Amino acid sequence: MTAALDVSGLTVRVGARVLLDGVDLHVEAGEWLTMIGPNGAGKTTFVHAAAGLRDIDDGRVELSGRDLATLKDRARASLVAFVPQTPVVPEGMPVREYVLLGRVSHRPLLRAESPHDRAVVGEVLARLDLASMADRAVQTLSGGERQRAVIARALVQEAPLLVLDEPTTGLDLRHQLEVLEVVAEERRSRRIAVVSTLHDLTLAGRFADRLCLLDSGRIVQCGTPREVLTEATLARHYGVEVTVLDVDGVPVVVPGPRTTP
Amino acid sequence: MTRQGRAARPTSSLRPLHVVVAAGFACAAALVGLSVGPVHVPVTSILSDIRWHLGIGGQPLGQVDAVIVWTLRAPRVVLGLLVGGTLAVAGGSYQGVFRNPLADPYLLGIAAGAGLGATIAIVVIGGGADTPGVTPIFAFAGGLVAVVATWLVAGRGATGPTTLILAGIAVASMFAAVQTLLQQSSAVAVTHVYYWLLGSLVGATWGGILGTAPYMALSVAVCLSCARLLDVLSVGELESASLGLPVVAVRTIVIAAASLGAAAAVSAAGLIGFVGIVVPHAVRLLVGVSYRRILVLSLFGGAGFLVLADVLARVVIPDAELPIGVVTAILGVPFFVLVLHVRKLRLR
Repeated sequence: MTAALDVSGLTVRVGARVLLDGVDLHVEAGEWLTMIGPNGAGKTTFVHAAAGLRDIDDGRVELSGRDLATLKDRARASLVAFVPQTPVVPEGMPVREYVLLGRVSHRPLLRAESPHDRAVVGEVLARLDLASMADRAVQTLSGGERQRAVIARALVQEAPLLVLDEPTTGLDLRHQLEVLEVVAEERRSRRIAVVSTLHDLTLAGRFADRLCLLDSGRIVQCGTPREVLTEATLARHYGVEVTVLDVDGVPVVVPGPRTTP
Repeated sequence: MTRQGRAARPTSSLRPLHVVVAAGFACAAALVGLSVGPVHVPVTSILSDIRWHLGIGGQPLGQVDAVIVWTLRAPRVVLGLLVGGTLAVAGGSYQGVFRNPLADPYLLGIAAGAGLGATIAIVVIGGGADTPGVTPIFAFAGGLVAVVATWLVAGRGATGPTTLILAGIAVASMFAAVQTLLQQSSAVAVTHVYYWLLGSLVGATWGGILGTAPYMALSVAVCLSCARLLDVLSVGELESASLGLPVVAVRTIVIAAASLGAAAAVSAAGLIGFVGIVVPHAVRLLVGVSYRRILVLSLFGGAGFLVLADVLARVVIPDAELPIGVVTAILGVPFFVLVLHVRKLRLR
């Protein structure tokens, strides 16, 4: 079966600095992989490179079996959808029109949206509980609603791979869960592959099938959340002591050393 | 009205009613432009004359009035419509490409380039005298040379907004310095260059219009057809690229088209400021942020605005004319302050 994302020997440099150093990765359809790692580890560089949004110096990225380097912009956008860490929200743009931007890759550039495009948008807005605010300007939405609108825009691309860069930035706990539940539901029901970065290790462990720990541009460990989120691994790569508790099979990462009762 | 209600816009697509109102404004302005002047010709008489020409009734104008309306005023009105519409569309397109509401059609050095071109024509070709046949060609070429120079200074492929704007400032400064140097060599030339810089529709002729209209029409056609893509670009370079937009290609095409139109407009009527900023802004305030609306409505709005400004330029001082650039600035500055004030209130 063709992988949604297949990365081999991915290397990105800026001047003499190596941001990604020979990263190999494979993500199957329906799988959720989350990149974790300390600041500056190369997580955002990785998701930008995987989504075809930055040049790479070496290696190969394949989306659904097609070499990213040979893909035109629209073909690429039909294979990978991207949710940025800090989305740009055009002032005054209604939610429906904002989400409709995600259909650019489905028609010739100068052609107007088709009724099918509008139908897809309507359906995604309903699924993400955004239908009632479709005519409101995006900037008037709350943080959680706004992030759902950004995810809706990515979903209407109908790409088999969804890449999210820190999708919970700036959200409170409830909205963090709400946004990640939306992604989880879409993954379950449509079997899309998800690649995300997350700073919150507990959330990362709760939602992802697999975690990959990046440090200094290299993948140092990949595995299930319980395999990766260990006190020793996190202390070595984050440089702080943490306590990892097991709550119903989900590793919960608590900053600081274990305290004796 | 609530904050939410005020900021909300039901849709971004163009509505027929908007187009009818905007086109009606431009037509009404054109009729006023044909009617008003030292000799007043009633609008009803002009409409009757048009019907007579079309063979659907009406009465022809008297010989003198017909010459005044169709030989003296019509080229001027048509040029005003073309230049105003083109500058407004070019300004709106620049604002979309640079994602900056303060961008105007002269951002990449066209004004300085055209100014230098006109100065070379007047000082070098005309020996200090006005050169009506040559100045527009040199101004047009100068404007385009400046944009190309800006592109080259910014670096090949470097179409990021900030780099281009900085390169535009550098090129404009250099061209302005050369222009000043040339002007210093001829005291007579200073007057001609000065009047040219202020902008005017006085010299409008059908021949001149035919020479520049194709460039303006091409520019407007390309910009309007890219309006939908400017809406996509409004989410920024990274996100629009992720949506499948060929960002660099779209930027290059829109900037080239808008620059061509602005250079043609400047060569035909001199430097006319504020139309390219104020009109798209006003349209944005009235109908929302979609470039599908802004550009089409700016075309009509800019056309009508410049014709009305020209009417004011003709009638404010009896037996004399104000430079149209002065009128657009006098009308534009208070309007601009109002726009900024309203914008601030909306964001509060």
